[in-house]
Amino acid sequence: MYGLIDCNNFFVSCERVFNPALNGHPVVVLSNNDGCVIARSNEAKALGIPMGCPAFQIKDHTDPRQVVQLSARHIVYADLSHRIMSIMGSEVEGLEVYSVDEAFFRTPYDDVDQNHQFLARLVTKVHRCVGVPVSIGFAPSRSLAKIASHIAKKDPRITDGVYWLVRPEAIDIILRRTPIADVWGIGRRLTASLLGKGIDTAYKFAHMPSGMVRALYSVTVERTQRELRGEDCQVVNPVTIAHRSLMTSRTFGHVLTDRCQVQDAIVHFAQATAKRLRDEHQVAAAVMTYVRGDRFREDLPYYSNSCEMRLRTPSSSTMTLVHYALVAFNAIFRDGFGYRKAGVMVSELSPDSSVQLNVWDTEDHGKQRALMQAIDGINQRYSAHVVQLAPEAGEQSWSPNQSRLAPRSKTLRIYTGQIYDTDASEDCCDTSNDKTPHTHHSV
Amino acid sequence: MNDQIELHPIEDSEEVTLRFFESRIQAGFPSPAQGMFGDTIDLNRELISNPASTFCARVIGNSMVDAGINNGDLLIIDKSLEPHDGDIAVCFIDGDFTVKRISIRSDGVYLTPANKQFPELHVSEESNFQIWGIVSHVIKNLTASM
Repeated sequence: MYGLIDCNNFFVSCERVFNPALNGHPVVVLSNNDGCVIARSNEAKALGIPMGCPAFQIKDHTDPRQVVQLSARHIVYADLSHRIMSIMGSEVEGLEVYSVDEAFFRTPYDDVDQNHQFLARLVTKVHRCVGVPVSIGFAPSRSLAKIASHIAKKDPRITDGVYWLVRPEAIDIILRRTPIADVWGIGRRLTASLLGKGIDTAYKFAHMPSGMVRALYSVTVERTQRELRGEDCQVVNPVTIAHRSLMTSRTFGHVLTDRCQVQDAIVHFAQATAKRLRDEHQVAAAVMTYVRGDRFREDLPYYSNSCEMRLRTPSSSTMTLVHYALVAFNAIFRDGFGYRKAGVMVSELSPDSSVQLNVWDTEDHGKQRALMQAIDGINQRYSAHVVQLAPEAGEQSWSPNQSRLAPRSKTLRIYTGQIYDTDASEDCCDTSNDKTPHTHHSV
Repeated sequence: MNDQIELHPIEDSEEVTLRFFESRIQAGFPSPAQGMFGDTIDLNRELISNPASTFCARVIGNSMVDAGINNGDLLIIDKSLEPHDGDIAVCFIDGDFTVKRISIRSDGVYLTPANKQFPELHVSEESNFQIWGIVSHVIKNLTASM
């Protein structure tokens, strides 16, 4: 089954992490130059402020003085998004980061109740670790998981943030209530066309003759239809979405405790991921490594962790990706635990033709690309993996390679901030009155 | 007053491994000959157990000086940790961020300063209160020129 994790009112929730005083108040986030509303808190939605509403028209819907209007800070949102996806990547299989606040994944169990319990704990964990509330829906297909996550977010009866659509009767009931416009992949023009044929709910659409859907529209639309019937049709098309992330991971045959063995696996995963990136002519801007223990072994303490590194310049070079994957690995590996699974994920992919070089980058990308082409060529000609990097056991064996790399940016993406000691406001600095450069409180 | 954690993402903190002399320092000077020369220490790894849930904040104020937290210190905060009695935490209470020791007693939660000049704060039912994260480490600059 597939799950979809969806962050609730994501941009507003991010702002509330760093300013809990915003909780309970109507809050909107405005696009660049404070043009339009791009995120709304539930309170702002209740006031009738529509998505995309120009800031100056908020007054048409409500007294603008009661709405907190904030300028978007996309760096902050991207950071919190990475943290959430990093936690998700360390807990579930097959994570497909679909947007800044949504990701599909495969649910870990066959049993619905087990999935439900596991995912409810995950919702709590993400909320505690990052501070952003999330909802999760799961179902036999991605399209149904999307509908389920929407219900998990909206239905006040759902208190643990998880909703599932598995039984056919339940799916039918929900599809009857779902307007056709709310179906994932059915855009505005398609909606208009379907409404013209009297198809106004997801249920009616799901029960149209397949041949008719294919003839009138396209194979893609027919896939969406089959997904609503509970078939898994891979509607996240790996080519059109151009893989926003790529993951290589493996469950080990037995629990590993030795650092070198796990590290070897990470090197292999990073190599394989780099090769897949080059095959797809893509480069990645972030590399994440995760390790996970065995949930079912009660005799060993359970440990799982992940760390994401940002690259100065997006790359598909094996050397670069292996290097960053290992730096991340070194940050999270702990002795004394058993490891059952590990993986490397790259994200923020873009075509390798569009790489923007960073001013501070000293890496010779032309040279690296030529070298990678040569290695791929040799490996193709003489069976796989004739030529490999040789990271031996232990961190120090890596240092010879490091002279080739850009100055290493270990971006753990930590925020610094200031805690004002409220009881000591007298003797602390006087700049504290003006700490909200991004905040417009309309007065 | 308008209290808020002001964000400054550290975009390019370099990985720095330092040679690490593992000798117990008892107020005397460690003899370089005693330590293990082979090991290095990476401060990121040393200070950050859970990258996804770790945040930093700088302290302004003196209410925690007796706990070794001074004005200007940098706090490493881990949001993934469960709060326990006695933990030092960054809390949000009635509109303000503050750093205090959490005391869980039979009659409720208290925020205890580590400075006799400051009063203890009882977290009442009506308080808008949130334990934002547990302080795991404090980074201090001990040079006189600070």
